[in-house]
Amino acid sequence: MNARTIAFELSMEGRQVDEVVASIFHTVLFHRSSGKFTYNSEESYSIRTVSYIDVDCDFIDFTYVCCESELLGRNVKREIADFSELLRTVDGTSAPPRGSISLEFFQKRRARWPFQPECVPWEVWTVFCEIAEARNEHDMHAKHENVVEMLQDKIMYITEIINRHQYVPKMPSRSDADLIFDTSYPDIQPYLFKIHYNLSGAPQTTVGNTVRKILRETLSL
Amino acid sequence: MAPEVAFSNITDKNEFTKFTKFLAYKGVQVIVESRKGVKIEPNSKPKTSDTDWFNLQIPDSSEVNQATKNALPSDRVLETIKSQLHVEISVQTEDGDEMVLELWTLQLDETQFDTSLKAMNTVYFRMGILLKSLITITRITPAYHLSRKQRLESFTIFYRVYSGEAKLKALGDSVKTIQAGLLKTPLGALVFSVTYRTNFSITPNRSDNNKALLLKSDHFELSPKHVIFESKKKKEEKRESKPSGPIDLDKPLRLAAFVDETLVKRTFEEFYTKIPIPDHYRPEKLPVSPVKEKEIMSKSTQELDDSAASKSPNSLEMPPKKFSGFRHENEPPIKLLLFPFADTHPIRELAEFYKDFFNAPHLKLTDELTQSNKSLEPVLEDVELTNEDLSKDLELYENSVVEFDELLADMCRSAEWSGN
Repeated sequence: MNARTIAFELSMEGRQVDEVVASIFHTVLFHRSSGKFTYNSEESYSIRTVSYIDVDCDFIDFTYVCCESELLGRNVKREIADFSELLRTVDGTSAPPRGSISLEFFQKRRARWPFQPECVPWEVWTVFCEIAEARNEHDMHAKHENVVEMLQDKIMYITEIINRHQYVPKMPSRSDADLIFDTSYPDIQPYLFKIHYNLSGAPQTTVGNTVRKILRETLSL
Repeated sequence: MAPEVAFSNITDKNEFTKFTKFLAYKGVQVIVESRKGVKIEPNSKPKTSDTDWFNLQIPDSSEVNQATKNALPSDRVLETIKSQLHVEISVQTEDGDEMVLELWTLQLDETQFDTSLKAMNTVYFRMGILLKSLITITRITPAYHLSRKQRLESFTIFYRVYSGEAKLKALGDSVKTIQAGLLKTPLGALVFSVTYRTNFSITPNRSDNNKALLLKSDHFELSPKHVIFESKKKKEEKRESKPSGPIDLDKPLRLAAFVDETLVKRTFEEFYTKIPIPDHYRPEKLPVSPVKEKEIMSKSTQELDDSAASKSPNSLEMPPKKFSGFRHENEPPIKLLLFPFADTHPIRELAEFYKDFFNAPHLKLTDELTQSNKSLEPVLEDVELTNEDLSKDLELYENSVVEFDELLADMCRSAEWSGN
């Protein structure tokens, strides 16, 4: 099955990387998270409420909404901070530092013993980041406005994509809930997701990478 | 157009209508909440039951619900939404200038339907996602940033819910439209969209229509109105705090306004005839035209007020200090400001001289002399009297010189006798 891939290319200052990526990923995760499921029987369940909060950015004049979940916020922040740190340490004298970070939603498929369940991505959101430091104050102001406008466009695009209601995994029965949703969060229940990044600028979801990844995951015991 | 039999049974259609109604209610709540200017912080919302509509913790303001109810009759939900339901967001400055910022619209577009969506729980789930998109989009339009500033600035954001034709003209010529979300259902697509103005300049609707007032973040911080208001308050305070000192009994009694002067005069005379007072204690005459004096006093206060009102607020607060020439008795003496490394400067010598001159103690007699001519006359009389007494005494003593000589001779003689 081919995963739906959505890619954004953004140019920003080094200090803005964390907030630009966070505003995109949290907007997606807000749409891709539901309240905690409580199963009454194998097929019957009720869903609890999702709460949301506003996040004001420090380095961009921008506010985004994310799920009110401390653990989710912490996990996403850690991954983005690792990527941002790596990207900002790249020597940008010859060419501006580039990198990509992806938010990948996947579902697990049970495999025969002794193999691990297979992880099948169904939607991947990738942000290609290029660091372009401002030459002067005027340039910084122009770049800042540009980043805000670009982000507004991306947020609109995200809502448009999600409201197309293309493939999303079916609501699972009680025994399969862990194959679709990440049930480890106490307050929300997002679809299973992982965040990965690289600095080459090339997306990780190439056929070769995917095959290698599947082989590696299949063989790992 | 959506097919006539979109749903397989009437129950589904009723359920869809109910879901759509609550989608509209919650949608309006989301829009209005986002324009309150309050940032939603963690743990800021009260924990609600787990039966929230669309599994989203959206506030339920009864006032907003009532506004929605008025625009969306329960028996005509789908019909009303087909003809569009709007939430108008406007800003009003404290000067009374008003500007419509954006217009949110919920519409059921019958041309975009999806008959494959039959399960009502999926419709419900997707409506939840539609609301999430609405929540997200409310944060990116310019009105959101403006509303967040309204607690610091002097303007207020208003909302209005209405159905029917959109009043887009109020948004001005320069507008932008964003689709906040679209959900295709068997009856048509439920669409949330926003049209907002991109030109944020207010044209005051008063005398000067040509000048556009740009709504800046710091525009209202120091409005002249505030200054005037503050100065008025201070003025009133000053008037109220006028000290009413103890009554000075030595001063002549003054008559109040509209008092019959002749009657008072007669009463005084009667009093003095009944109870005779030694002449030197009795006042020589009654206050001359006390009413006139009173008038002058009132006038001066009035003048002060008039002149004060015509002046700028700043000059009212700080009246210019005049150099009186001499230090008043109650005025604190001047202190020299000590400037480091300025001891040898010639101007310091002048300052020292001025200080000594200014701080010199007052000569009371000089003061009394300069105060009034009346007070001078008795002093002169006293001096004359003293001189007269002295000359009398001198004359007396001169006449008695022989007696003194005899006395002195007697004293000398008696001394000689005692010496022998």
